[in-house]
Amino acid sequence: MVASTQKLIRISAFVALLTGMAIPRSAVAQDVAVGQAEAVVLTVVSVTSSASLDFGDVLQGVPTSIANNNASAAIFEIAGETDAGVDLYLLLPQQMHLADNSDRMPIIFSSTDASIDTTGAGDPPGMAGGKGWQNVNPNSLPTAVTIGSAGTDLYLGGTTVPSPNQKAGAYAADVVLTVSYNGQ
Amino acid sequence: MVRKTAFTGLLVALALLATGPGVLAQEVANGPSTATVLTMITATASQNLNFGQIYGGTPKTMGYNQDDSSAIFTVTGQPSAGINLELFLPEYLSLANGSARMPVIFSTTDAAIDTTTVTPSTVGAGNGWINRNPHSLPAAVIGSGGTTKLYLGGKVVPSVDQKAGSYSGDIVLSVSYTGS
Repeated sequence: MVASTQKLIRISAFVALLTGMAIPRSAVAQDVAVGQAEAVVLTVVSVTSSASLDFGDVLQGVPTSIANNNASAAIFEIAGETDAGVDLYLLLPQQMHLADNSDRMPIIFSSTDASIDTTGAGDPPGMAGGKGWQNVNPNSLPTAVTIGSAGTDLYLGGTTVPSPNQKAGAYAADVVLTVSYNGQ
Repeated sequence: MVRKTAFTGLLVALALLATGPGVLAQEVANGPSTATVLTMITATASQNLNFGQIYGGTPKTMGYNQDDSSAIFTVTGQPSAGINLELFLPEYLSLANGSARMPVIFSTTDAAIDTTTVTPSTVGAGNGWINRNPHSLPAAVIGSGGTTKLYLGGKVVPSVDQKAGSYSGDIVLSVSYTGS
């Protein structure tokens, strides 16, 4: 009986030993980590034509120019994510037309007929070099333009060249500005 | 007197019977019992999957091989031990206030497992597993240096009128030893 008891005690101790050794292994065999996917959606970029390039009354045979800092210059207002880089592209007409298309009049844009105002002032006469880009080529606008905190404006001038027998009437043409984020 | 003598003799006999088997009918042998406790396994999210700036209507893809933008999970444990990896991937990223969400997609080649701990941009087939399905990761191992890394890319698909703001979604990695 003593031997059986001893054997029982030995077996019990062995089982206890195995049990004790198993517990730590199962506690450290698994782990979980939580990370994230993240993205920032920028404010949608928008552009509005807020003022037309208005040559006013022109005389037959007399070219008429409007500078980009003239109160009659065209104004395009660009809005979107502040400090985001944008690409600007102007599609400029070569002629203006009567509404019935019965006559057309050439229009010219020189290499200094545009200015880009990053203060969003919407004030062509108040434009200065420190506010963005002044007197730049509207056919090849700068590439490092960003959206100012109050928006960015593009001012456009040009020259119309009526012929001596230019038909009287109201002439018009579209000036198209395309704006897109460039990721900068 | 006779009864007392007999009783005494019985007790002696019983005592002999109790001690006899212990001397003649058993034997003891000692054998070793061993176990190896493995290094604790840990998983850490070392870097988030960062899509950066997103434009409405323009999907953006981020590969797992972008050092600064891919998600990186670091797994440490017993060198060369077999491990199971399971990712729980979001279907959407959401604004903090929950007012808008944006789909996020993980393709069948958006994950890589690096057992030599190079970098996302330099990991190749010789460093572990590349171009793997994050929804069904292969059985892997802890690198010989005690570390294995998981790199993850993805794609976000903003709508044209996606609400502006910062979006996020949780990516959960569960790791466990396989015993192999």
